[in-house]
Amino acid sequence: MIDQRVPKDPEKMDRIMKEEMGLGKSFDTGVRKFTILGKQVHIYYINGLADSDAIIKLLTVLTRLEGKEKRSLHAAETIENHLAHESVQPVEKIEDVIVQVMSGLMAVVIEGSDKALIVDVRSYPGRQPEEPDTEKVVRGSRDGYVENIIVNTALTRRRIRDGRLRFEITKVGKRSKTDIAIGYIEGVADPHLVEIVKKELDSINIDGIPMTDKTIEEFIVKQGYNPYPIVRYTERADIGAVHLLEGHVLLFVDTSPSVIILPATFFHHMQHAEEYRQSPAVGTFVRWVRFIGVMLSLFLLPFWLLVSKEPELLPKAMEFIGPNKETNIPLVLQLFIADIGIEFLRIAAIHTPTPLSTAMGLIAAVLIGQIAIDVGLFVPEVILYVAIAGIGTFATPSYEVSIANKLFRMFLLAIVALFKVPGFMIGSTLIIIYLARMRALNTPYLWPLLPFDPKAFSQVFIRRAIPGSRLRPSIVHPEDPYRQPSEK
Amino acid sequence: MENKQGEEQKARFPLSYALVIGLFGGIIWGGLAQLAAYFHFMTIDLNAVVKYVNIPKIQSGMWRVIAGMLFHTGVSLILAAIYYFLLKKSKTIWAGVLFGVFLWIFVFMMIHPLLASIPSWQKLNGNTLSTTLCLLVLYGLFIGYSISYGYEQHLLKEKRLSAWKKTNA
Repeated sequence: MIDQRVPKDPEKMDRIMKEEMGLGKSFDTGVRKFTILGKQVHIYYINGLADSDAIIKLLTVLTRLEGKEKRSLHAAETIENHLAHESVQPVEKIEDVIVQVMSGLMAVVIEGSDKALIVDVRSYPGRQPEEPDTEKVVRGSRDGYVENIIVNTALTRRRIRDGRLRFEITKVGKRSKTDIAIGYIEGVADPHLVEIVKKELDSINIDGIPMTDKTIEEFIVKQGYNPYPIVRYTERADIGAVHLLEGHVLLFVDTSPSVIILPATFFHHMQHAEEYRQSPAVGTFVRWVRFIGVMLSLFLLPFWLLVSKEPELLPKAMEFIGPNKETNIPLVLQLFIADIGIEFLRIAAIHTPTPLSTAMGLIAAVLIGQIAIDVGLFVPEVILYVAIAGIGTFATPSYEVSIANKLFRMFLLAIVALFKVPGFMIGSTLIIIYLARMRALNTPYLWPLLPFDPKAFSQVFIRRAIPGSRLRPSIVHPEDPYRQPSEK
Repeated sequence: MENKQGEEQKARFPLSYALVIGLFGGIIWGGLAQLAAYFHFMTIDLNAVVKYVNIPKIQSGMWRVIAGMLFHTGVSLILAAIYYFLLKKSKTIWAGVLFGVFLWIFVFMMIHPLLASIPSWQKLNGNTLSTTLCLLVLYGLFIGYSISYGYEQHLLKEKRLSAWKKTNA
């Protein structure tokens, strides 16, 4: 029934709305019935999502029609003409009317007209743009994305006022009908990529996506059991704008402040907004330190385990490395327990309310570590190296990458414990081949290290001064390869 | 007439690209090999080539390592050129991996009688075998994937650039 056209009799519409929209049952659905210019007019709305003030202003104008205009046959056109709002759409199908009303828009049904007029009087409750927790910078703008998709696209448009910045919107989810906007700059982004994204979004067949962006990501990139993230998230408006200019495609999901950046290679995950706020030399230094931290978080523990078990491998200069005392528990078990212990701490910190978490951190760090050593559970060296690896994990700009690295680190630890040097070498090689094989929607994951691209790698390695970057990263296959428009 | 113009506009994929890859490959993976040797992952002498050169300074210490790396980088340039001529059109990463495996077979199974420092592969212990094999596989992957991908990108870029030029001429 609801795929039929809007009935010309508003009372019939009323009955349909009672059944399909719970009019009368749900306390927040409402209807207002008028007679204007001799015709019955019904207004349908949702309390809370629709802006009362806007509706009242519209109704004021409409009710004034009663006294001023003659009763005429063209009541519908007159009413549409007098709806004093910038966004008025005629809609023919009942199910479209229902979707719009449930999203917070107002539907005007006029006797004798088979079209309903949809007025956008939405006002979603939400917060103001604030700086996101996980992407803080020392200096820079502090407006982050919020849960409202209109505000997010507006924040982005403020930074890129080019008419070629397109936001194409689509609805996903049979029950949730969540708005998803695809943002890209036409002429810069790879149109093939935009097509793929649109196709994938259209083919999502699911009830609802309350967990928004993560679910979308899993559909589009077909993650499977691969722990490494193929897309990047950001909650900062300036980072989103930077990536749009580079040629990436952004996905805005309503009710989520995290915006998805496609495509994202491993080295994209190594960047942080902080770098652009510092001079090129300092930014480069920070990048190297961060990269070393990430490498340490992956390879330090397995390597240390290797040289502890086989002290002959150590050159003379480093013979102090390796535990001196006898250990009660095998080293590899100690490392696993310590690693899992850090995971426990992290999970506990998330679940604990903020005032308690400081105290908890103290307890964990000071007491447990020291007592574990005294009891004989741990050797001090284990604590030291696990702590260093843990700091490397937290220094990883991308949370998802740090967890994936942790998983692979544990894999390497197990392999090294079993097979020693061949295990370390073969395990590391397998990890590198696994990462090299990955493609983030057509771009190799370890680009520009593997495959090696000297120019692009120098841009990753060294934070180039902005005036010096002439070309967009070739990996996004931009249509317009020149960043600065004067370069032709 | 038009065909000739079209052919002139498409640039050839330069050998220099492959050589640059070879250069960096030699430096990076040669360096990692030296590191592996420092931690006694391999029992063979990586820098034995210095024996053939009659400069006393490079026979030991830091200079020996540098000389060894220079030699390996030079060999890497040649290997990169070989890959460029034979295999640049391959599409997957496995071409590079197999290139590395074949390199290992070539050095450790075929020409080892000529090189005094490398014993027959049967005599290698587990550490050396796995370390040399893995390093060469990763080196081959690096060289191969980079050159093949660079070639693929080059073709794509030429296509897009000529299309862009046509619409913006």
